[in-house]
Amino acid sequence: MMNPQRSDPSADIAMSPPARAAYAKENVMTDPTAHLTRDEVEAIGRELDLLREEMLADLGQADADHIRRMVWTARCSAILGRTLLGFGFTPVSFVLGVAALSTAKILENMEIGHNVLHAQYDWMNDPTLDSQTYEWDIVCDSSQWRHYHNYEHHTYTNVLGKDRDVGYGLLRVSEDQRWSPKHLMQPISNVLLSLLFQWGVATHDMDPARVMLGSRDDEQNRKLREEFPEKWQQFMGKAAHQLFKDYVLFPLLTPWNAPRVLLGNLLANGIRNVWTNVIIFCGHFPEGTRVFTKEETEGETRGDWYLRQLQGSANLEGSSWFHVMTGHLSHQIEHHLFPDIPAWRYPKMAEQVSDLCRRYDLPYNTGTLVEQYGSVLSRVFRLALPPSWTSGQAA
Amino acid sequence: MSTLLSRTVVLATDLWASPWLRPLNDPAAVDGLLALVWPTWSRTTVRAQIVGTIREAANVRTLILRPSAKWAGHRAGQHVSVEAEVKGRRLGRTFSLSSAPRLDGLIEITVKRSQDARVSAWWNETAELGDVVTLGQPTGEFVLPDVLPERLVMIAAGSGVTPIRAMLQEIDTRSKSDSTSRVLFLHCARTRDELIFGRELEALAARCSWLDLRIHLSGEDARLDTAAWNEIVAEAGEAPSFVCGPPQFLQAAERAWAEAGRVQHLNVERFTAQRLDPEAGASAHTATASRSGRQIVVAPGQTLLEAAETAGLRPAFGCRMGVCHTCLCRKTSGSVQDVRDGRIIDEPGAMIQLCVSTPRTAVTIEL
Repeated sequence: MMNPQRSDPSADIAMSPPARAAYAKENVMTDPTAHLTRDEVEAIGRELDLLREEMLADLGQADADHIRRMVWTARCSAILGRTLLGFGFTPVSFVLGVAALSTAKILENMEIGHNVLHAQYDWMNDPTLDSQTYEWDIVCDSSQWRHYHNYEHHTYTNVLGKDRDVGYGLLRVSEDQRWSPKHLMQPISNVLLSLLFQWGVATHDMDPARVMLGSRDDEQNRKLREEFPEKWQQFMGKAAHQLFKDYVLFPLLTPWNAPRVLLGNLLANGIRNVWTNVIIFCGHFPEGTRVFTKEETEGETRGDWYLRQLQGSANLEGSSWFHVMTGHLSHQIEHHLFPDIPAWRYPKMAEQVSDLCRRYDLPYNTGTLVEQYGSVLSRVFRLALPPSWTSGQAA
Repeated sequence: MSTLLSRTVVLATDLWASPWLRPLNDPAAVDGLLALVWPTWSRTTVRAQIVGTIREAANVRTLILRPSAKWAGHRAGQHVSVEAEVKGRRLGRTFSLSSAPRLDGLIEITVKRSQDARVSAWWNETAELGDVVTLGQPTGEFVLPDVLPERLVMIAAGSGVTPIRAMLQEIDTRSKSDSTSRVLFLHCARTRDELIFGRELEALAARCSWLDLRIHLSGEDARLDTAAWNEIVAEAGEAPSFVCGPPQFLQAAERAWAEAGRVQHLNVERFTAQRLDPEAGASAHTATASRSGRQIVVAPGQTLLEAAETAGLRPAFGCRMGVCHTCLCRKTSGSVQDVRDGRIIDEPGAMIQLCVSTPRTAVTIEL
């Protein structure tokens, strides 16, 4: 988008440190914050801190009413969907049932689950909306998710080697990631990942691929290996629960319709998988979002951290219902700046954030779903090829 | 009718508690649905609906509540934890019940608005008929003896009158069937306007010969000094005595009864945790919160709850005065002191109340 893509495809993380330093020097133009003075960076930090404090001071009944309305909408939608699937007989009621159940699952996972697990509603002191105990309707165990998402992904957003959300260890979504032959398959693995997204999310924290194949010397791998058995047990428990619920309990509740219910639940889970995958990929992988090296983030101040979040995220435009259905991850930029502010406030905050970006001449990456996901797909396809193949086109 | 129905619903819903049936038996969803049918229905908690309000004084209001079937019933003088939703936040406090058990099952709670207390402000200004609060079960040992003694002494200051009013109602009821006590009740307030239940208690005293009501207005009469307290103790003699009021008031009473060597006859009810002065030269200690992996610095005299909150943790809490045990937490190592009475707890693995515990050494808590 506003940030021109890096034209030098040799910007590979595999470069030697001197080569990388030279590359960084040459490409200072591609850093959209290069024109800011230190004072300006800190002023941006203070301004965003102030906005955050303003919102925190304003938390109250409206936020409580919003999240409760969402909980009821999701519940009613789930009851309606499951009733239509279990008691209906026509294809029309099947389609409506799947639609209602998918809506319920999407709302529960995104606008409720994701945001509650970010502790956005902990101040309400409501045990049913408590980040430490909330368990969501997805095979991913919420305590594992809180660890890698709230801690790793939100602290080290888009930092290569630290944020395992960059390509989910499967895809090459940035020129700065080292190419390997498995990436040739990524147009297909991307489709598979989106269809089975909840399983990817569920196994992401324990990272079985790295535990099995990763280097034995690596510190991070050793830690993963140590924690694996406990996490595996948690995962199996949660997965058994979810599978039992959608593929045994509900089908058997209306035995005459068991295959219909099973198929409906499978479709609803699949639709939710694809939708969340598309929205989440639009958050960090469209053209213009930057990734960072560990070295770049050393000695970061609060202002630097805000700027990294701003450059590493992208927004989606749409109606207020579209925003709700994305769990307000359509405002990924605001979410990354203020992860624990109730998400329904992001559209309002976006006015101030985009105004700040205008004033400081910073990129504010936003577009429609079609534009942003198109941009993600083009990256997935282009970066499947080794850097040497695409250098001609990109130049 | 509604009670019978709600009992049936409670029984039926108790049958399927297995986690494998979720979300069919999700307690939050079921409670939510029950509340749609009837506002105080719940499988898990006592809920109470406001069915009446009485303005007792400028900053004092009584709410009359109808508790749900899960309410176990109380004894006059006991207190209860109350959770109200104020501007989207669920806030818990502990209040005395200001009424004796009533035939119609209603309970009364009278609350004086104090500065910067969100619940007491809500209680006085915002709460409306039909609103629902969540209650704990009543607790407390500040209650009348089973057999009424010949004489009783009661002393209340300010809103400390609330549990004593409940006791007087109780004595009034019992006096109709049993032999009764002669009660001396010293009712203290700053001014006539601030005297809670003034007119009601005067009417009771006029009607009942067993009640000797004396009103002391500290803004007009002489303050209660040591001599005045000693006179009261002398008059009380061996009679069981009940005192409720602010911390200094209770301290004065405890001193007077102790000096007379009759402390065993004194019952007090506190509204706020009374603090020991931090020891001279006391230093800050480190608390390790083992679950969250955080190191917390606890300033001298600060409680673990306050320190944890300052550090950004969110331990569960209720009354913040050592009554409700919501903040109960296991201490795996180190020694703490109870800020109310100086009791030292150093056995490892003890459950401690974060809101009234301050560390004496480095401690580890399961938080």
